[in-house]
Amino acid sequence: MTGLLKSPTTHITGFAIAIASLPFWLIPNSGILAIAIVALLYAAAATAFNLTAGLGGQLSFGHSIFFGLGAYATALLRQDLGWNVWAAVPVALTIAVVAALALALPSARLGGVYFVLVSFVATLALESIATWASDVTGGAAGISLTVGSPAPAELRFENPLGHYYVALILLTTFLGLFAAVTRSNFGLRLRAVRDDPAAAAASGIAVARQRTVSLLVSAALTSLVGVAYLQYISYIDPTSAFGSMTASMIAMPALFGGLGTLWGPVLGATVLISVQQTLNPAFSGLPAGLGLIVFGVLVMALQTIEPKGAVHLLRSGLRHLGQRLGTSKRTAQPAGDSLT
Amino acid sequence: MTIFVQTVLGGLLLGGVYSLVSAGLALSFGVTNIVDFAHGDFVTVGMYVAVVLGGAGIGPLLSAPVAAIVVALFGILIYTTALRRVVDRPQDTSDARHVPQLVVTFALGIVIQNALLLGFGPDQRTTPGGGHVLMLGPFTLDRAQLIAFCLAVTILGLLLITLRSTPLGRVISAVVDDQEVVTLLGIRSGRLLPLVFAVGLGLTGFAGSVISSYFPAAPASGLSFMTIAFIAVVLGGMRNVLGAVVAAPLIGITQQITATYLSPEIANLGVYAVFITVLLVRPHGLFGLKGLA
Repeated sequence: MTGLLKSPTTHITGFAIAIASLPFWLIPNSGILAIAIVALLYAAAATAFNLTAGLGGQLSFGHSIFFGLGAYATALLRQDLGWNVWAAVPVALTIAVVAALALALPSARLGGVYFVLVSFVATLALESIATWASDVTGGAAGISLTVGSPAPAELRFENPLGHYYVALILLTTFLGLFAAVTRSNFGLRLRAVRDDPAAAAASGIAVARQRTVSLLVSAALTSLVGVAYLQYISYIDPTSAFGSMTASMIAMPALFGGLGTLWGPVLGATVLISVQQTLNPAFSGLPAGLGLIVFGVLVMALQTIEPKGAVHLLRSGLRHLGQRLGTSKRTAQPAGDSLT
Repeated sequence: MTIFVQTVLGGLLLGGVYSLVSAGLALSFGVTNIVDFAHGDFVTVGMYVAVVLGGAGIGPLLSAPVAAIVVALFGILIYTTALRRVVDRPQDTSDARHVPQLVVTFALGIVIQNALLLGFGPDQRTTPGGGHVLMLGPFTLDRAQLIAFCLAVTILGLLLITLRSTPLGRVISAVVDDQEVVTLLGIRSGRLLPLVFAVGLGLTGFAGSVISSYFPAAPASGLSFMTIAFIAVVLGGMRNVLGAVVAAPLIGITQQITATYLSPEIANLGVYAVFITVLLVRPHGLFGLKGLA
């Protein structure tokens, strides 16, 4: 019984049920629902990022590459060829995997800081390509899809709740996958590579291959978030696809919440995306910039206090509290009780 | 041919200031092990110092020393409050050892950009003066860019002389080689590190003020300077100031050639392409330089 309670599958199932019920009792209006959808989407992207950054130690500041490619592929296929989203998904996945291979080629053997720089520069390069190739992409103005009549089978919903559940399904699936990878042999090898590449290589682990495979899987998953984002927003432009802010909105939740932990990215996205979205001038009427200042200060403060992330901070806080409660309970017990 | 020479000349002039920004980054990375993802935003802070002083009628070249001091002090503040706790530990061999420092500087960049947005609004700001053009035979030179180039060369000359042939420079190089041994010899590296970080940022703030004489300031202006500086530092061999100083004009020239012969919209794309190619062919830099200077 305790084994079942401790299993990640139980936790993920419980989480999915709880989040699925929120619109019925906690989310009061469509404004809050919109924030929840964005938070769920970024939590899913951050979980995908966590797979390669957290388990594999490849910190990518360019995961927006895969998000943006997924969104652009879907937008273009729907707009220019009239395809529906299900036909676009395999194309988006393929493009993301090819891009990840291209990124892994120079960086898998370099690792460390080089990977951070290459991925960051690559996403900025894609941003300028998408702006420049305006014949295909619509340039800086982006692509605006005509909404048309709703078709739930093609993930076009009249009620945004549909997008909420699509985002939740993605997140739950990614969490399950992350938990499965963590427990697998592959996950073990990845963590060995992350903790000490030289020692891992000496024990016969193909370092570059583990890094590449984790990046491919992570890229494929992230591109699906791009597809879901496009279905929800019906608009994409170079900056919201590949810009440095998108890159950081994917990476920062995982880094804030706790790299390599199952729940870190979810916690991080809940805190950071809510802050960023609620303090945004369109939602709150506050001056532009304030939300992201709070976002940045929160990330800086947490990293200097507990570099392992908010999940660790929370866990040690709870343990501390538990110990204090525990000791007070023990001292409160009458002496005779311990005999029975 | 005239167009080509004009393009290269323009790139070279821009490159002088890029050298200043890149030298600052190479210095702080080489000595303190900090890969500063807010580096470009310190350029922007320098630009806005010039904008503010420009409001009082002071030109961007005169504001440059003030910008250098303001940005350097800001650097010391950031180092002592946040970065000191998260700097790289050399004895750690894991891939994740850079993470906290990268995250803190990246978030700092977001904070600076949005603080500038909050304080000055999203519009581009310019500084007084500028727009003067000098003719040199068939070639035109922007006067502000020429002065900026000469200033950059002078300051970089002084920096390199300091690093190579003064006792302070030798101490700094020794810290780069082995911080622990240097500490055993009685040198307070705990004080030296924030100081060198601040000097690197001072150069950057100086460059920012000078840049504002020909480039309008906006809250997100720093991004492209940061990318250029990162690429220059990698091409120059990561921890080598001289390498970064030499690589930066090459980037300026690549940028101008791409802008002239392909399209100004993708000026940076040529630079990115060179960067990726160099990483594939010579991942440890173009020149194979070792040491700090």
